[in-house]
Parts: sequence; C-alpha cells; structure tokens
Amino acid sequence: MNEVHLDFSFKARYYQLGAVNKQTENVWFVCHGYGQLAGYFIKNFEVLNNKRHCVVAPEGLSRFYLNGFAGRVGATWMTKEDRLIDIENYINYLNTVYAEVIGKRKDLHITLLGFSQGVATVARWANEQGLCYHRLIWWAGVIPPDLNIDLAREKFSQADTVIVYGNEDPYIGPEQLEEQHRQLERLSIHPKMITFEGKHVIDDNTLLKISTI
Amino acid sequence: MKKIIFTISFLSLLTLVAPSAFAQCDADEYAEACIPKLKDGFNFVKSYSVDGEGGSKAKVEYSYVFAKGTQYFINICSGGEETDGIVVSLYDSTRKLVSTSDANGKLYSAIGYPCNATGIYYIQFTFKGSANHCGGAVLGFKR
Repeated sequence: MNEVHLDFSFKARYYQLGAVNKQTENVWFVCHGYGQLAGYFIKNFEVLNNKRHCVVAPEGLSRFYLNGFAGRVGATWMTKEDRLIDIENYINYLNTVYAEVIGKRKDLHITLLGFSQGVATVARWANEQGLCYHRLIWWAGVIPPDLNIDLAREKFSQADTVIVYGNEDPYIGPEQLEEQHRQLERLSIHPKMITFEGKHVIDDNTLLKISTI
Repeated sequence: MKKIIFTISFLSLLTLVAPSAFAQCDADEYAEACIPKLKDGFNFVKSYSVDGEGGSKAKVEYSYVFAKGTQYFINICSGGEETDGIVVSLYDSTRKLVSTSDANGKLYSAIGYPCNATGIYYIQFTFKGSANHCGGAVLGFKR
C-alpha cells in the first residue's frame, strides 16, 4: 500500500472585524483554540472594533461535531494524523489570508495572536521565512517543541512577545508550564508575562491593556 | 622587549588569579547536587545556582510561572548540612511575599507553597549571616 499526497484547490473562509483602509493602524490575526469556530471566536475581539484596528480570524481547516454525530461544530488546526501535511496546509492558508488582508501595506502594526491550540499554530506560522509581524501573543497555550529553533530565535526576538494566562485556567498545569519554560530557554526569548483573573478565555480588559502597550 | 615582558607577566598573573576567582563559588555544582534532595513525591522542575559573589550581591532572583492547584517545593543546598544563611523567599506576581524559609526565628532548608493562582512567581535568595554566600536550590511540584 502506498500513501499518496496530491495538491488541489481548496476554498476556506475567514472572518474580519473592521477593514484595512487609510485609518487602519493595527491588524490582528487571531487563531482560535481546539473545537472553536472563527465566527464565534472573533467576537472576543469586538472590544478592539474601532477604526484603528482590524481583526482577522482564520479558521482551522478541519471541522467536526463536538459531541457525537450532530449538534455543535468546532474546528481544529491539526491532529496527530498526517500532522506535517496539516501544518503545511494551514501555513499556506494563513499566508494566503495574510497576503489578501495586508496586500502591499508596509505601515501597519501586525499582531499574531494564538489562543490555546492556536498558540502552536501561530508559533509555527510566525516561524515562516519572510512573514512580517511586530507582536506575538501566546494566550493560554504552549509553544510547540518542533520549531526550527535557530530560525525561531531570530524571528521571535525581532518581535514583542507576550504570554497570557488566566490565573484559574484549568488547562494550564505544571507540566505545560515546565514545557513552556524549557522552550523559552531554548529560544532565548523573554516574553512579557501577563496574568488575569479568569479561566481559559480571552479577557476583555487584558486584551485592551495589551492593545495599548 | 618591555612589551613582551609585560604580556608574559600579565598572562602569568591571569593564570594565578583566574582559577581562584572562578573557584570561589561553584554554584552550578551545588544546584546539580541539590536535585536528588528534592522531597519524595515531587517532580523535578528546575535547579538554581545561588552565587552571592562572596557577599557583594545581596540577592539572587529567578522567576517561574506556577500553576493553580499545584504544590511547589523549593529546597536549598549549601556545602554543609545547614543552609549557610541562604534564605529563599517566594513572591507572587504583585511582589507580595507568599512564603519564606526565614520564619519563627529559624532558617529552614526548604519551603512549600500550595499555588492557588496561575501566574509568575519570583524566587528570591538572600543571605543572613552566610559564610560562603554560595549554594544551590531545586524546585519541584506535586499535583
């Protein structure tokens, strides 16, 4: 038996709050967590919905029923199955979204934010050669261990890096924090650490605070 | 010629001075040796070097993100059985002291802390009547 991979054209969606126009100063690409949908996830960023900010929420390319065979649907960026191809696909997709939104604008302040599973997605995407961004926000998740460390060290050190945790986040345990700590040491980066009172969520006040830094 | 003599003298001086300067405190060795002293049932997280540079450095500080619902334990190691005046104090993200080994007029060799809020914590080592200002420590956790 042979496993065969092929290329074909694929249509995918993304959501956007605000537009990129003459008044826009900041563009946020926000990647959701496991089992979330971009259309709902982007609502967490409505506090940024003014003329200076444009928020773009891409969506994981695989969707599934959250419980059984019907009902609510969520999306995932990848699973362990054929993961390298999934990563390649979502990076191609994210690059396409980026190119469509940013175009040739060079004057925009660009933030890449990952939440939960989206932290790994954003970390891998941010590690792409040639991708321009100014700030990386890793919110309630862990930087993956499979990055090209030399490249990541160079790329991440050129951006402002921020790590955010809720002080009652049930998904962030000591094992995850230990892994994160090891990764940060390997990368030789020192992100700004922010905690807020809350669980595994995007917190409005913290988001607003970060947006003004 | 004078230049050569000066260079040779300078290098000789370096070889005499440098090893003794570096030998003053091998805090990394203490940190490494401290790992097996972690209390039973705790998982190793990290070891720390505590080098007070012969007394010229009043404190040595590290930071680490602790997780809610987790018990943390920090053990101090120095040359002898006692802590040689090394004090460990733990501060939360607002810089509020939450635990210290300097309590009830005694210097304890370890502290435990049941974390009830995920966030950054500062692990600070200070010296109280220390002879060598040199040691190590180990951090562990238990769910």
